Amino acid sequence: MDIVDIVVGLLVGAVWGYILYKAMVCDHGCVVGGLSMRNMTMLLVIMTSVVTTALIIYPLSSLGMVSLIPKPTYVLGNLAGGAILGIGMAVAGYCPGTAAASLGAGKADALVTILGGFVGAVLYAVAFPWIKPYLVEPMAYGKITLPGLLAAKLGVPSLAAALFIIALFIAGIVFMSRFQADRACGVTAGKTGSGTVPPEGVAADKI
Amino acid sequence: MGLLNALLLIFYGKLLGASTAYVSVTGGLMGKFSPGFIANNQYFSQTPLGITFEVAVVAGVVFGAHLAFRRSGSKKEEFSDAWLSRFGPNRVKRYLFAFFGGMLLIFGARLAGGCTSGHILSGWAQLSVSSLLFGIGVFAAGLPAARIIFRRA
Repeated sequence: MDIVDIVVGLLVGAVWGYILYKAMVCDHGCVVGGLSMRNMTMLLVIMTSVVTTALIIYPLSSLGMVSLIPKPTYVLGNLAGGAILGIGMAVAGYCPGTAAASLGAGKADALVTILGGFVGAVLYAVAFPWIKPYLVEPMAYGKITLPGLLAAKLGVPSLAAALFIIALFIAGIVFMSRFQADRACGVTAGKTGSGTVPPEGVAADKI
Repeated sequence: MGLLNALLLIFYGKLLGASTAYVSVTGGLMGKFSPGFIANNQYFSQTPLGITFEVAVVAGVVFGAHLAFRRSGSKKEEFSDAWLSRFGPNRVKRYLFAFFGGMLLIFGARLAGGCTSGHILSGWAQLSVSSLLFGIGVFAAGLPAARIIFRRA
């Protein structure tokens, strides 16, 4: 229990939670709209954040100043886990992070979601020895990145590959913004005032 | 959020994530009451338990969001409009869905090795293959689920 870890964690979390609330992704309608691709607000928030981070860390990483810490790839578990979580998001209207933020905003159903999450954690821990040989061990390739893979298999320089993929993400953002038209997230126009993604929402995800 | 995550990696060597905290808290608590179970459980044994960095982050999230909520002066909503218009105000129903959904969230997150924050916000930013796969899984199942559960009349 490192005290520095805890203090830094609390501060970082507080900033993050503040941003999550401001970006308005703590609403069920927002999440469902995003998953069903009817409302792009959540996706725009996520992708703007992803691109901002990537544009900063990838060049630094190729200069050797930053080490990337990707999560291990094990194809079946990554896909199946994503699918299960995706259904959970549609049903609960939260993800593990926004549930915590919504708890801060006083939503009781967020608390219930978190409690369900604890049960889910225990269930997984119990089921793990049975699941492991089928979904975690097969097709395990370690902590690989897509640019790293392309560099190894095709000889493409990894920074170039990374920038290309990031450019695709940016194209996706532009496309989604056009598609978004004038729909705010999950709430009627009266509540939020304007119809588009509020400027503070977009700024929030860049920060 | 993007800048925050980048700075976190640069200066602290970590990235945002939330689902591991759920395991850490649960495992930490259970460890107090039945340490034998935790010691014998492969998954809990291989995961950092108790009050970890990520647990502190998630606790911070609750606090930070609360601060934003207070400053925005909004009234506390019971349930979101989207839910109300689809399912009505029945609390039991909402809580059942929330609980079950929460179980799926963390079960799925741990199976995949991360959640929307750990895999997408942090993983996609690193163009990590596991995270890209995760994202595909989320939408492959989440899109039909969202459309079916919230189908328009």
